[in-house]
Amino acid sequence: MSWKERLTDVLAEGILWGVYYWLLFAVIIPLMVNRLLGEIASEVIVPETGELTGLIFLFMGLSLAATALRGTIYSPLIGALESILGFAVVVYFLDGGIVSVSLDYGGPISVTLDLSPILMEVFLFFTLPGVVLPFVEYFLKRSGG
Amino acid sequence: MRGLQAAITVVGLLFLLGVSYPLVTFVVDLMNSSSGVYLRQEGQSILVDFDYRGRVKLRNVRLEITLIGSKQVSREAKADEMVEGSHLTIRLPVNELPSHLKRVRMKLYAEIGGIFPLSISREVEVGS
Repeated sequence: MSWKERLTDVLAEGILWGVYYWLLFAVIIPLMVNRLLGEIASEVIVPETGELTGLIFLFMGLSLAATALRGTIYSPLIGALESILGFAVVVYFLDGGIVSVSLDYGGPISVTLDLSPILMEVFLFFTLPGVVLPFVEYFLKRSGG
Repeated sequence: MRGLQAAITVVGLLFLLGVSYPLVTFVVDLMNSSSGVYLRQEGQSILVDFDYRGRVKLRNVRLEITLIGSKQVSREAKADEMVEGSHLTIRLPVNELPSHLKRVRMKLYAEIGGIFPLSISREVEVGS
């Protein structure tokens, strides 16, 4: 494989996985929670355009580095870092899992909702596989090769 | 391995929808129904009644009321589970109420579907 083909591969795969992590952690999960909770979450979970742009570049950069360093121990390390950062983004957008808002319900009422079960679910299904699987892949390839 | 990760992601998103279902239903019902805390007099007592109108079961429900005036009086009622049409009532004998009532504080704590802890509170200045 020539260096041009290798570069194209790294760029294509890195950008695709960067977009995947960005979409999942910065867009889809916060958007789902926001939509599902309606008015209760409307004042809390509002990712700004600047934040989203910064995050897309961060995740793309990490994915590019992980793809470029494939075959070395740095690739799964960067992949794991990506997943942990993604979880941190979700925790940030969900305000640490505790949503507190003031609603008008025949007068002002304070509502506090604990969303930590959602954070646990995100950790279990998205963060943990994102941390473990790159290492499994790396060590399987090493033992196979 | 990447395919496995993508499959887990899809399962995770579906699971997220499932876990969120009681929460969404509760919020929708809260906005549309006539659930509420009502006060009424019955004989020599004031009743504080939480009338629940929602499809999702509430677990470990606790209703607290605090009356602040010449003295502070607090009462609470608990229920392990509440379904649509359930009531949780606090009875306050009139002779135990403080005079020169200044503030009434109410707090409702429940676990939506036994999963999501929720706390709702309201404080009213008497005469304001």
